[in-house]
Amino acid sequence: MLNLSKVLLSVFFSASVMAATPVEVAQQQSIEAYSNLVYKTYSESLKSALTLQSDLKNFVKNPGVLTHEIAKKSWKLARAPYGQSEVFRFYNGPIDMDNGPEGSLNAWPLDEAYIDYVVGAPQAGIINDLETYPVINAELLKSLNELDGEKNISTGYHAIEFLLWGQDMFADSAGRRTYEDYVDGKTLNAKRRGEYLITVSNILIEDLQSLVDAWAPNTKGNFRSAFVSQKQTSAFKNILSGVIYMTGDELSGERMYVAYETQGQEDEHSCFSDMTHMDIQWNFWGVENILRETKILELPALKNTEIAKAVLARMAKINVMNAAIPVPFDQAILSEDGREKILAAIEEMEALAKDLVIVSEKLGAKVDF
Amino acid sequence: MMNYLSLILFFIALNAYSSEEFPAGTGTTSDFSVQAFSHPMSGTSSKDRRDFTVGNSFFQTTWVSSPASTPLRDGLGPNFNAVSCTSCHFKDGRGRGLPDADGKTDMSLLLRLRVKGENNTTTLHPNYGGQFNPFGVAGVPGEGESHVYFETITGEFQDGEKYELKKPIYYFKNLNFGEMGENTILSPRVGPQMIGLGLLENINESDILANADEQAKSGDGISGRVNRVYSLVTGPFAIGRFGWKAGKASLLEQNAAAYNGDIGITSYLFPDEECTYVQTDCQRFKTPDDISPELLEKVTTYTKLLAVPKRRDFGTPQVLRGEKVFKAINCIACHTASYTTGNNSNLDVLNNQKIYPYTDLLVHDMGDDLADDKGNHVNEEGATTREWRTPPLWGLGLVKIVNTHTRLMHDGRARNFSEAILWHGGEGQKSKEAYLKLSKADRDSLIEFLGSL
Repeated sequence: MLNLSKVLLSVFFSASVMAATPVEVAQQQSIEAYSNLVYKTYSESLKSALTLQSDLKNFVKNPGVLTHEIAKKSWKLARAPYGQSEVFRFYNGPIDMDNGPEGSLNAWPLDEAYIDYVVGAPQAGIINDLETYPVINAELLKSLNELDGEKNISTGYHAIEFLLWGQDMFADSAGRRTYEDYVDGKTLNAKRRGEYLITVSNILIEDLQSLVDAWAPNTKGNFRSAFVSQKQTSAFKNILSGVIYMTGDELSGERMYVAYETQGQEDEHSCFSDMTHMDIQWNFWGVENILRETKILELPALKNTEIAKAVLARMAKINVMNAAIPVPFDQAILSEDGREKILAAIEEMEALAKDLVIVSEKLGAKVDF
Repeated sequence: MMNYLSLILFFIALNAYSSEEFPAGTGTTSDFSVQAFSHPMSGTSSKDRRDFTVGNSFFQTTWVSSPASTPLRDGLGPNFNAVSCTSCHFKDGRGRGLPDADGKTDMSLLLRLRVKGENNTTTLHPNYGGQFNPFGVAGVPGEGESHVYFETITGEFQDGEKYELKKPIYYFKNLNFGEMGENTILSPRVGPQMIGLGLLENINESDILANADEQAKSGDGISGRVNRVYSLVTGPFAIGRFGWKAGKASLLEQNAAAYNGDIGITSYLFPDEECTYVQTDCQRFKTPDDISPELLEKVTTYTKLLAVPKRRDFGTPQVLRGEKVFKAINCIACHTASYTTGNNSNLDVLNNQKIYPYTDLLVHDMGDDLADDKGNHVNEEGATTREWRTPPLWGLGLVKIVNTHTRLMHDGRARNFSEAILWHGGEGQKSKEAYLKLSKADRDSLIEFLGSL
């Protein structure tokens, strides 16, 4: 509340006391363009998640090879926009502020035995624990997410992924869960598994809807209205914090280097579906989307500068490098050729993060990195 | 010419970060989201960032029992308190320790055990060892369950406002190796936030010794002591800095000890797991060398580099007033505001930083109510059952966001800042009494100041 009143106060002063300069006008357009991009990306995430939800319902109602495949395909399609939205984290925005849904939507890596059976533990997980959890509903799964540890994940995209694919124990394919896991009478607790899947997809929709609402244009009192009216340097600092942390820490570090170093499948992002290679690209496209839509590099402070050119050149290079990483990622981290390519992409992203810190300085919005 | 310019710019930059607004100096970060405690120091090199991310992975990892298909992450138990570091330091933050109502203690709380001997000496518990471990791997019974009930303590500020404190009384259920016995001392400890630890490690010894000297001279009833501890790395007797009683001299030892005592992970520093004579199943399931020296080092790098976020609402009139009150009622005597770190870390970003942790790193007699036992028994190395290390205050205002609670003190018994102050006794008694006499406005300012740290 205090922050909001501060924002309003500064809007009042900047609107009434000073006329906006051309630089400020250009910068404000950039900030608006960012907000439009966030709104669009979350809206597309929601739309594709609604399709996923309906395909999951259909699958659970009529479990079979075809309905299973359709559900898996929908999950992959739903990941594309969401992966591109992750760059909107790291500055206390709606996704990761107090009570924000980040942990509920996309927490990983998850301990699969927390949810369902695994090899060697046929009775593991919430689904098979009728005694402790007689009824599976949204309230329960929300309360269990990240309880007593960051790997105790009960909800979100990766929970759905595990429930569709199962453990990936295979070099030549993703997880091979069969649709029969959802056929009542064929497998232990099949019905509960279906209830779990539907419940998690409902929570996913709820979470994404809250993000769409927070970024909806022309909505009094939502996050976006405060975001676009704050000091411009603060807005740029927020925007670039997301870009820099995604490039220099989250993607190149947690999602690529850790798996590279440990050579462990459990350290890859989408380990059940073998979709990590696309997660990497989507995350990076998110970075690119921001620079393209906001035209930050064309703002007066950066237009035609060496640093702007360097950033663009590096981005083009990284896109090529990411696309060249062999598929699947869990095998790429083991092969000589794959490792070389992964490390090269990591190094280039680390360098890009440093360049982007300079970009933030040029805008008077230095990101602490 | 260029050199002069960059030199001048350097000093300007240096000055900009030499302010209380930036508690970790130039390494301070500015993400105030739920990830606020999870970033490396700003300015960390790419190479160190890589070690940081690998360390982070092992800080989060769920350890499983051995043997398993994940050889890097097996070796849990035989007995344990938790399966991962983040179980108790969720998002690198602080555990709540206690439930809101009578019942089981929280996952993030552990109980150290000692048995009283003659002349204030203590020994490990014959059946349960030095730490209570509620869980065991398959085939090994856990030690039992720890529970708590609360007694209400009431009091009143001088202006008539009333307050209530909830005093935790611990007890056990379903003990698997017999009764604890009357002479057993419980020392509860909650997992604290992980930020700024490498900076604390890099505070010069002479500064810590000076804190003790200054307090000894002041004659105001405050006289913190250095906990001199045996270091597995440097031998006898190093200055203890880490843990609720400053029982460990270095982060490497603190981490290795926590892995060992809390998760049952052995390393070259702590090669053996604790199974007492009566715990025969436990003895059969011991596993050597669970974590390699290289990985332990990376986890330690991780814990060294976790940054402290910038202060919020810095410089507002109320926060400034609160800071004055903080000094006026002498909280500052033990919660020493600032240091310049030393020069010897292999991680450059930890060197020569002007930092604001608000701790003297000394142990203090904190009075009967906080004591594990009112007698002055040996508890951890040089620290007694009455003594606690002054905890750093930086970042505490963000615990609410990162960990969705506001509990403080060594077992989370204080439900907010005000209760934390009211729990102070012993060497903190005078400051507590001064707090009781403050006007409502001054009290609120003080809380506001603490929340801004």
